[in-house]
Amino acid sequence: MKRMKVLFGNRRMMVLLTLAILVLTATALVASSASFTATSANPGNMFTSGSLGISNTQSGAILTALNMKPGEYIEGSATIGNTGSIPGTFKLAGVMDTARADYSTAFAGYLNLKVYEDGGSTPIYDDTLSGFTSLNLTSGTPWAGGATHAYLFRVTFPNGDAGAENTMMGKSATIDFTWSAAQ
Amino acid sequence: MTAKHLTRTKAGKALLSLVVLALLAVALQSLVFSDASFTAGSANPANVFTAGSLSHTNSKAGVVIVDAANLRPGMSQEGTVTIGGTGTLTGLYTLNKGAVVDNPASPGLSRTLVLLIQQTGVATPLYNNRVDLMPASLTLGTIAPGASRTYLVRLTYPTTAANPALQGASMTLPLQFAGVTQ
Repeated sequence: MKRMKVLFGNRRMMVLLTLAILVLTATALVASSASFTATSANPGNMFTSGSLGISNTQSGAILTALNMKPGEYIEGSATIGNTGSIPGTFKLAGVMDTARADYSTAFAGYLNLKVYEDGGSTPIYDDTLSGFTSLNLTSGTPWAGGATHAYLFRVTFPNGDAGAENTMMGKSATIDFTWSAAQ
Repeated sequence: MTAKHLTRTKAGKALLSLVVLALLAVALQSLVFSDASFTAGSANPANVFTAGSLSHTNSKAGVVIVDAANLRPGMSQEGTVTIGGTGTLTGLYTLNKGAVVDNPASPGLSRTLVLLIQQTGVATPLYNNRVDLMPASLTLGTIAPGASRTYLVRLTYPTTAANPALQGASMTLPLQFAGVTQ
């Protein structure tokens, strides 16, 4: 008690004590300003770009026919797929390689090219090799991601009357095929 | 001249407007060309088609195989001809008979002379009978590129067919070798 009297008897100590109490009270008041709240989160909203890609079972030429004779034909096939995640419209284009030294316009125009889609019996192209420029595959309907379609190519050396193709002997024609896809 | 000063003067404002318009134009241009879309491609180049060739050599091309001058009964004249495949394709060959010309037409040497056509190394002749009875075409078989066949052609005046009316008579028999791809 004697010690307490000493403490409270000191004016300066009284002021300090009062201030300390005030600070504590103010802190308590601030901390006690609680109210009801509610939250809801939608985290991880991701945005990724889609992709469009082509798979092709043939990395090189689909058809190579040397020493063809009238009446002979050659077949080759390729399966094309959309390896992307978004639908794409696929096309097949053909360009005659006229720069080759042994290229013959007459022979390229004499050969017949047929292109069959997905095992169909009716070709989606049936005309001269040199007349082929481009095709909208599956009639231009977009292919979904993961879709694949098979194509059969047949090139025929028509056989006319005996000797009718003699002028074609040793002639050559080359075509470059390009598959393309666009969203 | 500071930027602040520029904005205050008329010229400065005009310049600022131009700068803003230029920026807008650039932005608009980028909008026009920003309609890019994903594309993908795959190529199958160099699809080559080459026609083969069918040709042959004839060791007696353009000349007679048998020159049977001064034949008489019991006598024969013969010659050979070699056909070689020189193209890139195998051919099925035939020997075709052309129009026989007899002079005089009657009694006709072709109705007397016997023609033998035989591939060398093969026992059975392709033809062995009167010239006038020879079919229009004889099948010789296939000749591959690089291969060759030699044929013996013999004309005989049979003793049994001697005819004084044929003295001084002549006959021409054109022969043609032809090949077709099989």
